Amino acid sequence: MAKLTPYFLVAFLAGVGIRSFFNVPEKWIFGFLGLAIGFLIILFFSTRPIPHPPTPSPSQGEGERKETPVSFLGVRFVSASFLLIFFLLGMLRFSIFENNIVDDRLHNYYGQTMTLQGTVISSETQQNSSRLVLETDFGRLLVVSRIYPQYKYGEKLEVAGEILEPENYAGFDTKQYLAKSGIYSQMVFPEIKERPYPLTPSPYEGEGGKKEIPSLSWGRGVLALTKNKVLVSLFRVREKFEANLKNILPEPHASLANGMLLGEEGVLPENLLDAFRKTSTIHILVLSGYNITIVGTFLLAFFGFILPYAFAWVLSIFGIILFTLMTGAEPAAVRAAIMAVIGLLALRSGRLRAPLLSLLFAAALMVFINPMYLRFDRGFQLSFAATLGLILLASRFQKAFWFFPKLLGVREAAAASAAAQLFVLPLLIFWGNPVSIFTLPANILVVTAVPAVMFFSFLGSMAVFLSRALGAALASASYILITYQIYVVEFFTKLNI
Amino acid sequence: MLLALFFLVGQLVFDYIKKPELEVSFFDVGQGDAIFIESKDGTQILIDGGPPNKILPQLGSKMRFFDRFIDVVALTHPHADHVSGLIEVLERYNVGMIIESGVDYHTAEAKIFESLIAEKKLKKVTVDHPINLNFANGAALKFIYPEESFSGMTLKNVHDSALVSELDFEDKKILLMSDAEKNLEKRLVAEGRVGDVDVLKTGHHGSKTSSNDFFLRVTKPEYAIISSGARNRYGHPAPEVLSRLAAAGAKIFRTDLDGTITLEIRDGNLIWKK
Repeated sequence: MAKLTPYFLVAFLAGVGIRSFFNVPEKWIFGFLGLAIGFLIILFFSTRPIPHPPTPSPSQGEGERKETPVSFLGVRFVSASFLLIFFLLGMLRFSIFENNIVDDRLHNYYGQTMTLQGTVISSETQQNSSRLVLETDFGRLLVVSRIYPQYKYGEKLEVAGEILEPENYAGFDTKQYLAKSGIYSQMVFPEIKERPYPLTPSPYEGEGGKKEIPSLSWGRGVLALTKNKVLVSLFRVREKFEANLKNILPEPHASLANGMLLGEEGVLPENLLDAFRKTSTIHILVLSGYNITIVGTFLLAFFGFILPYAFAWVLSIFGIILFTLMTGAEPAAVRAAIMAVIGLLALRSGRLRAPLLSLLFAAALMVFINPMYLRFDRGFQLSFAATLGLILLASRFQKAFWFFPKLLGVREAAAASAAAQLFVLPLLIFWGNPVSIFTLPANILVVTAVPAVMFFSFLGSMAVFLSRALGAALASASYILITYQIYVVEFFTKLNI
Repeated sequence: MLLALFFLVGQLVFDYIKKPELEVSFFDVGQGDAIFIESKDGTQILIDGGPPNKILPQLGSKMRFFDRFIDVVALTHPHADHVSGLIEVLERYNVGMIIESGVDYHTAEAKIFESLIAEKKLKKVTVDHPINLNFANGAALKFIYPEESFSGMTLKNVHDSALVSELDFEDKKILLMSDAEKNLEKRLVAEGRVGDVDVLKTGHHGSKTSSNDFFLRVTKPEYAIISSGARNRYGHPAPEVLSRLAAAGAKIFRTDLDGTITLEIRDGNLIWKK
């Protein structure tokens, strides 16, 4: 049975996947679940009588007989029904998550004007507005506000306005996208007041009761974290890091470097974003295990060249952890880092089975925690695809790339990024980006520069803590590389017309 | 690293050789104003910053990557489509001097801008009478309005306190009207503060309350620049203004259609680049 674990995990993922595209009524899911379990029970009992009861030595005889005629058919049926059960559990998990809206109380107030207090758990500046997510006592609220004044992670705000249901626009499933993060309501340009830090007890009588119960419902566990001082201070580190980066690079280079490092591109000029989209290279600006994996393999290849392999491996893992901490250790980054470590594991062992199993386990666990990742989280998809590519193809590519020099691990690094890229490509197509014939050359030319950009930007930004001039000198390398990337995407975009 | 250094040095030398004596860029910042003046000796002046999220890539394309210093930043008036971008500029760049009218305005943007100036202890010049800012060999940015102090005052129409300036270089005159409307145009004409110019940055993004016939008769611009956003919700520039400018014989450049417009002055000639 243990041999089949990967298949069960895949079945679970498939269940979640299919359920996130089609709405299957829970009645049916439960029906089939009952059917499968019933089938199992029948199998269980029907296999019992077959070994003859009047055997003199039951322990020996049973064992031998089960091996031959029964197990052949029986095990097949048993595993088939287990597969079905895992598949259905996947579907069920998604349905349960969707029903989480019951935990959210804000959606009961659609169309009503309310005054709410909450803590900022994310803020993002867009072209003409900024988007805050507030954790309130009633549930999460998306606030569309003016760009100024800017509010930071952890700030306490009071907002007054009409509670609205998010609307899908331009074919984008905004509702589901927000539901992924447990957001079901929004306020557009409400009146915002800053609150003094120690939040006064909520004046909403009766509602306060449920507040103190930490939200243990899966996928919304982040709630408790806002109170966590460690996270806030990590976030401040990240903020400082970003500020440093902006201090040593001009725009749009700073935003692009930030996008490659932290997956937060800020506000890029529309025509530049378009160029990245049209050449299907936009994925380098999404925070995912893809970027982290690439950095990890480069570190591994580099250290592996000058140090004993095991030592290099530990150093790369350490590098990944440091990087994740520097970037604020937000859930997306942690997930990406886990995937990246699994990818490195694959490179180290050179075998397929263990890393593949860990990847599936990690993916299934992440999807179990939040089933919406599977379809609605690009970072997750990229991480998974890149790591899968690394596990399956990196060693083959290393043989195919015999013409690359082994110096400083160039060959290993090239093989790893090629393997990852090949698996990421279908995703880009699936995301509906217009795939041009130049996708492949553009990707090869742009992506190969990513690790170096990340490396120099990261070093530069860290160096600013010592001296700005040193940071700027280091960042000059990433400036040139980013200029080159911009040139490549714009060149291919022009060709495309 | 070494290669990078060579690359940069090469770029620098090349840049310096081909640089015009004076370059004025009317940045395409969408619906708003942002004008960048740079002379061959490296003096940089930024007048207004446009709306949010637009100015930095523009500055990034004009300034060298290690250049983090702007000599003068002028805020003509504290409306969001002029001041927002300047907040980003003050956050990222070191600034030698701020020039403004000092008028009081209630928006968050204006307040943040003022608090950034205080926080960074920047040198601030409040224009309460016409002053000249001389730079590079013979170039002058003349602030011809306001003639009185608006410092700390609240106005019904903040446009009436807008800094109006004229850039003079090698006998070429470029009049920058900020968001000046009819009132202010009347006043400037009546007091004889404006005369024949070569280039007019039209007032208020080409709105119909600006660039009136009586004003154009006096200023006689050969070229007119309209800084407005593509498909903006105010309908700028107004068709009336376009026909008035055409009637006055001005060739029109528009940031909404042409993108960033760059004017170079080389040996006393105006060279336009779009």
